[in-house]
Amino acid sequence: MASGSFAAPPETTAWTRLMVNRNWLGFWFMVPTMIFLVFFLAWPLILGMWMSMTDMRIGRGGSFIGLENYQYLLDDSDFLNATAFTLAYTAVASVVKFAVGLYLAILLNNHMPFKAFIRAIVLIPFIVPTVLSAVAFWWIFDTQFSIFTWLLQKWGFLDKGQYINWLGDPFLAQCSVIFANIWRGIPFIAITLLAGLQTVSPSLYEAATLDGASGWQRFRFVTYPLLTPIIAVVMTFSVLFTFTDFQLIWAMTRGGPVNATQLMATLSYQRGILGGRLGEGAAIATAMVPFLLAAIMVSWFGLQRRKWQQGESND
Amino acid sequence: MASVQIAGVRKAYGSTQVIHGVDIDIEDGEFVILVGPSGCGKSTLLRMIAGLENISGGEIRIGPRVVNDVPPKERDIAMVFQNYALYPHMTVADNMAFSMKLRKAPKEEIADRVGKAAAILGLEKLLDRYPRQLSGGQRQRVAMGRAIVRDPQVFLFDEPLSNLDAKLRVQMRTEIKELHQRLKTTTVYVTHDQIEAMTMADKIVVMHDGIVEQMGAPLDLYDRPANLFVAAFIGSPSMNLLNGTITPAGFETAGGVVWPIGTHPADSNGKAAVLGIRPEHIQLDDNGLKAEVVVVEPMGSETQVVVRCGGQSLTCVFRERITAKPGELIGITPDTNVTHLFDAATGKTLAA
Repeated sequence: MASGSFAAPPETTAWTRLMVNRNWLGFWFMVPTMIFLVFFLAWPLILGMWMSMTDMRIGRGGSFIGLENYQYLLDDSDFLNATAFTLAYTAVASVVKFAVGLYLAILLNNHMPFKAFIRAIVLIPFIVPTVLSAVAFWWIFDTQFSIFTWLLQKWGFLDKGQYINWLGDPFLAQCSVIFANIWRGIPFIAITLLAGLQTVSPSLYEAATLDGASGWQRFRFVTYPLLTPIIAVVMTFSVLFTFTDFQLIWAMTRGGPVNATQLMATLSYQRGILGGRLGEGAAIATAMVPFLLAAIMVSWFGLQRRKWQQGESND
Repeated sequence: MASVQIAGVRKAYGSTQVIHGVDIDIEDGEFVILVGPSGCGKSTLLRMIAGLENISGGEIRIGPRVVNDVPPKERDIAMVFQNYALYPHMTVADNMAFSMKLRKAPKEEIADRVGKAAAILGLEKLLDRYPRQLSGGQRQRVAMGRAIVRDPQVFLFDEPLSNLDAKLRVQMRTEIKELHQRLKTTTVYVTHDQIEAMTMADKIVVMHDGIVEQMGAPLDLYDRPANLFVAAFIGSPSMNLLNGTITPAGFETAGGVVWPIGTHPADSNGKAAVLGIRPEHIQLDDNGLKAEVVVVEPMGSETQVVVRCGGQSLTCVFRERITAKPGELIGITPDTNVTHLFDAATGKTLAA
């Protein structure tokens, strides 16, 4: 027996196992991120939900009142209108942004002179700070100096001296802020979809051309199916960003006129911070969560790897 | 099936001309291979036949019809791409059926044709798979299946074997040739690999810098290369080319080494020329020229030896096994019936 020449293996204590074991190591590496997420995401969310069940005001601790805030909000026409407008705002803006963004992406994917320059220009609305562009839109939709009014007058659709109250009329104000949001959101979608388009091998289009596909059929049967995974990601983000929009509205209309352009986010701010009713503001913010969760669920199912994306396995 | 005529075809991108007037006649049912180094214009020419590139000048006919301005889908051709270009989101069956679905062919006909093509290529069990789940050789076969289903006038292959490993390439080479013998569809095949060209083609077109250097049956090109380019390009290992002068005694290279040559033009004495000797046409001969062994590469069936003689390196292929060590001298002699003489100035063959 040669046992004498070997040192006895050191006793594996629970402590060394915690330091060496692969699974535990993985856990240790995740701890910093988990702490970060808990403190900056989970904790504020829980705090907000708890606050929505209190009658807390600024400068005064609140007491637990259960679902009273929510009950109150269900009878509050301002809240219901804000919810309805937030949904409409998200739906209309997302659909138009997607359509125009996809169109732009396909256009930019073609060979053309000054390609890089044009692509850079498309990004401008995305680069300009939101508040700055909102101020620009404030002028664009100004009652007296609006460039749209000026153009309509120039083209003879409006008489001289006749003005449109873009941001003063409830319906026009809603259209105006949606327009501004679309303008701002298109570059994100266009550039991301362009990146997706560029991963499609040009020989697929050549093969489809030889197979007899027309331009529309090449889009319908080759481009679109290959782009669906990236469309799902982009549209999820787009919907989330649009639904929670705040800056644009606040800079352009502050939710007015008569709360016509009030989004849930702006209403929550108005009630909670400006009005001082923290509990009620928190309840409005918390009411956004189910909608956002629904959007994420939809994209989660949309994002599931399709069978054709899977690797070499045979099933 | 149809013949293909290429007459005076040119291609220019802006002011740069890449194909300078090419004439090729491809007969009905012929297997023609365009071969040449990269950048010689062979792929561009193929894409012009397919209709993926405009024709800057000249005429291409498929059958009796001039197709210069006919859109690709009406040319009745099918193409196999180097990267296969399979639609990743469609199953094998859908990939093959795509062109027929676009034509709105009846379902039974589609199923019938796809089934037949799959049977020809041994793809029956893979019809429900996606391209991702296939090996390189299987993808290659699906790409061919997609072409077969079309039942086109002409098959076009653009370097279809370049992405396969060496062993599979040899196997697919045989399969493609067999397929052609079975379907007898006119085929134009582009490759940079002269072995593919030699083994598969009825007719080889050697291209270089946008012109046709020589056209003919594989063994014609091997036996009678028209110029230095073809001589060096066709054959493996490639032909030894020695610089020197033709003298009444033979072919004199640097250092006063005189190589025996066969018949040569009577008026060519004193002319600077290039002597071409294929490695397999050099024999061991104790009375021959003394050459210093540089490298010996035994291949089993034959031995490849690099030697130095008259200041120039030569590759020889001997049927015998060589025991000589590097640095030793061996005697070699070329088979003068199959040596080639080229004009050093023009590169053209000197007529015997």
